Amino acid sequence: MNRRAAVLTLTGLSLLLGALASVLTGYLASGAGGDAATAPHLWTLRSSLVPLGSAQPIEGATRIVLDNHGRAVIALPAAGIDPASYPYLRVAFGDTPAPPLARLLVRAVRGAAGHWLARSEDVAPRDTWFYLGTAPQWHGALARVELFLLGAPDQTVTIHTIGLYPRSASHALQSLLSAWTSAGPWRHSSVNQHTGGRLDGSLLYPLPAAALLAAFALAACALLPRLFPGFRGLRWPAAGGIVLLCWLLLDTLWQWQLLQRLHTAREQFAGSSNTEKLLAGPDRELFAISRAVKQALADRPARVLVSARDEYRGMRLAYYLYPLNVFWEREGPPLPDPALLRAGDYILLLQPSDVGFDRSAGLLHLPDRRTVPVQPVLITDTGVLVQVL
Amino acid sequence: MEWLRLSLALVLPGALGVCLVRAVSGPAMRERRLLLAGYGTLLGLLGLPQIMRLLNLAGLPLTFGGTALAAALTGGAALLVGGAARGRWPTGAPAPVTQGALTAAQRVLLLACGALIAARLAGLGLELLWRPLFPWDATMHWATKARVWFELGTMAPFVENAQWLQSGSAGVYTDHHPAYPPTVPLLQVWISLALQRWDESLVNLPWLVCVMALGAAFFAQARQAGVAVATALAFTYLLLSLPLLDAHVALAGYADLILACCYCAAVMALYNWCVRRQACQAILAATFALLCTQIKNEGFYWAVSLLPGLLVMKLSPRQLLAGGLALAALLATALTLLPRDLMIAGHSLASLRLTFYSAAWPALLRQLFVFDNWHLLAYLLLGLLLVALPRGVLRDRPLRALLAALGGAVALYLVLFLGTKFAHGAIHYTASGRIALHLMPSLTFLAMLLFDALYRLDQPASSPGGSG
Repeated sequence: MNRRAAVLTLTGLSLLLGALASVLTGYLASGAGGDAATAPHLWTLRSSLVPLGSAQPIEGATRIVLDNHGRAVIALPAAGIDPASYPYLRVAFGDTPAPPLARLLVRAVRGAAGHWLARSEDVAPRDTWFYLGTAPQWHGALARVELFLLGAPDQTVTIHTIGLYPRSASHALQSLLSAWTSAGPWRHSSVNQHTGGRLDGSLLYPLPAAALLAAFALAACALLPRLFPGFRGLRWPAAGGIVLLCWLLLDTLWQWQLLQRLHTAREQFAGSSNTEKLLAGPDRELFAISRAVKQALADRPARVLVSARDEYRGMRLAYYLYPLNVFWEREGPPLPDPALLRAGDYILLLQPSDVGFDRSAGLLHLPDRRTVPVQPVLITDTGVLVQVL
Repeated sequence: MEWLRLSLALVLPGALGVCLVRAVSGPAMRERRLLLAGYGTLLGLLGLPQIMRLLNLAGLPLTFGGTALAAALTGGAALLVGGAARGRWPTGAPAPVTQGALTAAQRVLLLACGALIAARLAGLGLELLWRPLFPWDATMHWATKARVWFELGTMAPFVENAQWLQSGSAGVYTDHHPAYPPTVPLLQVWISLALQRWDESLVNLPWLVCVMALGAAFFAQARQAGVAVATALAFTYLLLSLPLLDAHVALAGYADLILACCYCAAVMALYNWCVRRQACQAILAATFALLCTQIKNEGFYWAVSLLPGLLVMKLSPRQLLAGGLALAALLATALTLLPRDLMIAGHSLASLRLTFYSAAWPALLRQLFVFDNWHLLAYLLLGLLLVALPRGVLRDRPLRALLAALGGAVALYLVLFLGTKFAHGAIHYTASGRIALHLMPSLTFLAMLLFDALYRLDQPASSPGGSG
């Protein structure tokens, strides 16, 4: 055997042995044969179980219609179910949700208290599995399990099966595949962390799985030359190949997730002008009011103070208002001390706001009961622009 | 016409940088073209904002033509000065060639890595081109300045909120971090000046160019260090496939990626200076270390982290030990005696709230070994270090110097997230990942060198050296 063939053989053998060891470890860790005697607990959906949105039985499935705010809740009775026996929750759609559901959330209700367990974003695949076994509140006596479906107003989704499943290797595998392939859209946290799959409701993240595979394969790579002298002196190229291939496995998953997000970006923004992108994006409402404000101010060298209860919306609105001379304070009071305001300053109250506007009296009412005399400049559903007198 | 100006805006910094690097580099360098391209582009992207700052300081308006002219004159002067100086520099012998003819397997690996890198960069580029400015900090304190400076054609001052409220002046602005260095916003201003308008997506093109330059510089410096082609390209692929690095291209607008590229450029140049003592590498290391301080406040600390590497090269082990003890004593004294409100690189002792935040430790470990922020890099580096230490790989002084520099940087990182108020950024995963990004390209370089060294140790004496 020449050197190249020997390296490839050693790499391949090591990976094979590593994969076998990993699968065996996973099989044993997931419950081996599983709770073979425990049948899954499946719920039959009725309209009475859907307190928000509506449900309509169709052949072999249930059609759920989200309300005009894009929400539906399915309340599944869980009295008498031992959560410890059913660590997996499955939601099988009758067809692929199109557009994808923005979010699917799971909540456990005990008494009067609800506890969020897991969520999945950008829900498009037919089968969504959650692993709830490590969720702190998935234990004891539960009153019900609630599923929150968030999507487009009046969106229709067809659900085929909702059920709780016992511990087994196949359920573990399906849960892993579901979690690893549902990374969801870009979030603000994406610049700080990338878990590799769904943030929660996941049995295992991809990196430890790949590291385990690499560790077993490298161990095999270290041992095989002792058994087969033909492999001597080839450990390092083989080790490099093993690490590279395990890296490629992880990177293939990452690349797939990037492509999903790229597809979303293309659908939403490709071919649009700068303004069209902003009017189509998640900040369209804020961008629209910023344009209206700039038109109203017509290049006047004015100071504009942004007041918003929601920190993120306030920050984004302030950004869209530049290059006006904008003030927005993170974690600050709703408005600065009125004594620091000057006549001619503009204040933009982004709804919801902790500052009240009394139009008839021409006053802003701050939470500390102080007032600021103002006159209205622009009033929209999104916000109110006033000028300090 | 707009695309022509935009193309010029992307090419001109690179051309400026190439002139500057060429002025200091010698002919006896392997992969010289890639080195020029990589380092030149990085230097140009970071140097052009400094030219804009000087123009602003001179009272000149920020315009595309004016800046381009200043850049062209700077590049021309660098070529003239460099050409004259090069005649006096010792040429030195070219680095010995250790790479034999590529095998079929190596060619396949090269093609595969090249294709993967190209596909990744293309996808990230499209995401960047289509998606408007998105990330939090980008719209909170980076693009805010760019937006104002572009519209006004001058670098209007940004002050703290309280000062803004008091001043009432029309020409004074505020945002959440008014004192942050202006390099990154000026990059966006430069693109906007070329477009003659603000574009939420196109202003982020320098981020894509920066990461491409990082790849070229990384590969070139790997080859300078004697690493075989296949290994160098494989590790370049590993570097450019790091998920958080990719995320910072797709969601461009933060300064962290730019700082990561700059620091890595400094580290790689420092290492290769340690190996071959070429003046050009020393100049590049010093230049990029200085530029780190002009990108983010953390850049100052990363620049300082290079000093241990220099000391390892200059001092004997005994002197190092004595120096280390003296430094520890100095630090303890400084912590005790320094005024609590003395500002260093944007922070004071009082504001840091020094104590041990134990809850941050598991979060940091999770961020490295459980979340897929860096693929297998943390495991790889740890494994290589554990294998390298007992095998005497670190008897190599330049490698020890590199380890000292990066070890110092990692120590600073741990102090930041375990010992200061910024531990909350680790516990809630809001900062530790992107601050780690500053160091990851350099740590990838270290991992590559360790792998290469271990590979060489295992090879029979008669076979050609170099991994891959």
